[in-house]
Amino acid sequence: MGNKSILFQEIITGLDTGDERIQERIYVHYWGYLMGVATRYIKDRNISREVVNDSFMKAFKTMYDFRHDHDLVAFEKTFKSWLATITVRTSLDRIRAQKSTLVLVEEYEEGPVSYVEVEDKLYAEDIMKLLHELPDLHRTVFNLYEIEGYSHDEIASLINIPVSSSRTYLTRAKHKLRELYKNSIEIN
Amino acid sequence: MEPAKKELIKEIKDLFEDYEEAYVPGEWEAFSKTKSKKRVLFPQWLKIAAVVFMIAAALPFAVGEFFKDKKAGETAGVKKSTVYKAEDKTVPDSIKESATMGNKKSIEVASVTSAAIISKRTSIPEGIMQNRTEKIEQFAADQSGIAVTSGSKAIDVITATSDNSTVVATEVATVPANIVPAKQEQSTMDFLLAEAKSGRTADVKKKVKTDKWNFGVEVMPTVMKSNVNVGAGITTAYRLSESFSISSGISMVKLESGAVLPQQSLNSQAAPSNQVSFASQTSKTLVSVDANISAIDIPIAIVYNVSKSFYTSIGLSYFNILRDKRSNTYETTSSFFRMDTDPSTGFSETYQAVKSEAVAEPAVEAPMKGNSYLGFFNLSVGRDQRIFKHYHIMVEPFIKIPVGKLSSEDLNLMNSGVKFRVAF
Repeated sequence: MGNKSILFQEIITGLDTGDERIQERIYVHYWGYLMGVATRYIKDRNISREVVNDSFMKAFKTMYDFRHDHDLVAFEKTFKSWLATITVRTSLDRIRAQKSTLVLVEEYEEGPVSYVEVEDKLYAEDIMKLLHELPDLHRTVFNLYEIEGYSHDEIASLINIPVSSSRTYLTRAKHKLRELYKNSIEIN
Repeated sequence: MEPAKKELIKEIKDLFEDYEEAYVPGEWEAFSKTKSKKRVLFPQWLKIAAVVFMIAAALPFAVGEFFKDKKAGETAGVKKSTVYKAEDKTVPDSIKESATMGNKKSIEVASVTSAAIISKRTSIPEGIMQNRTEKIEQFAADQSGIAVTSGSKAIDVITATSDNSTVVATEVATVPANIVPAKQEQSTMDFLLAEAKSGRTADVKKKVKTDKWNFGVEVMPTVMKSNVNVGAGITTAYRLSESFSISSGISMVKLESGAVLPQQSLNSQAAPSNQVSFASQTSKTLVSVDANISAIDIPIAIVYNVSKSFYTSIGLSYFNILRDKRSNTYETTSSFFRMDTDPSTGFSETYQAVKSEAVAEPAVEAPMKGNSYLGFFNLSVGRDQRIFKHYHIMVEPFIKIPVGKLSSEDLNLMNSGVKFRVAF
């Protein structure tokens, strides 16, 4: 049994018995992952940390009711995606709270770029920089659709925009990302 | 072999799917501190239950005392005759006998006893005291002389009583002398009547003293900056002194607040420089935010009775928000092309038109829901009108000013109104 399996077994037992000590293990194990999620939506690292902490707070309140069938592999996946969902929603709430409404879209010209191949190995930090050059709404739709795997209908109801707008924003976000990536390669 | 090149977006997707940062030591410790700060000492339901329980626990006592007072008033006549038992158990029987049978011996016993009581209750300056002691002794001796004639049984009683009166008289402290002669001259019946009177006033005093609690129900229409709302609740007050009392209660309030935002475009989608993109262009502007808040308000206030009918109060409210529903109103402006026939030329022409409409959308966020605040600073003045002996109607204009965290919310929750209260 690997270290990870032992950890998940401990988490499952902790959840079943309502043991509060398991919170630390969960926090330390998932903090990095949730920070990765939050920083995709929010540029400011301090706010991202707050979002992650708020997400853990919410998760710790309700996780003892988390349903699972004691299958370690399935639990690992579902628990992780549950935490990510909480973090995504908390991030969206935070963006809304800061801007009153998640509709601020800056203008930029749509470029003609529709396909770009990756030349070198991609680094998360570099891509994160490119992502944060996108307007909030475009970046949010891109993250929700491409990385989190939400459908346009789900995105529309989640951030209160028409479904057609969600499609448009995604297309524009992709175009802009390709353009930004091309420019960054050319500079280097 | 060189790995197959991937499209950028696919690559980004793969990169972030399991991306995680390295754990920064100390984060858990910082989180634990924040968590323990945020942890509430008692859960919300427990606080509310405690207040309700306190009110429910106090209610039977207050109601019980209310009815006890009522009974006390009705049985005052009975109490009057039992007062003497505390002073001297032999007196009431003697009085009965004297009233019904005219037995001389009993009257004498009663008068001696009353003399003893007088000397017990009053005090005399030293010069007079000796005289008085002598007089009392003389009086007791006279009485015993008479009593001897009426029977040997009475002698023991009288002698014992006169001894008592002597002892008591020597133990007296200082009181103005002018009170004493009046008392001295009192006949037995006068004394009994005076005692009965003082017993009755004691009862009245007691009645006033015990009426410290009052309870009531209230409705309170409130006016906010843009809406009128209504709340209702129960109240209780405890009288600390003639002028001051402390009041509390629990009420359910509904606040509807609206904020009209300054005109600023929050969304403008791809400003057109060419005609084609102009056709699909829309802009969305957030013009106002409406909030509908339901909350439990638990005020505590010090009430100062300015006069019998007017009072003023100052206090704080604990405010627990149960529901926070918000909706945003946007003004959407969209441009489109429109075909129309020019009446002067008869040719079809294309016009560029702009359509503007207001759309209300419910907001997903409820930033205040479930939160508790030491929320309002309350100020009020009121008029108290007594009706039907035990009921009061109160009309109380008030103003509630949000303080602390509640004042820094984006909504202006300051409100004022009039409380209409019926108390008993």
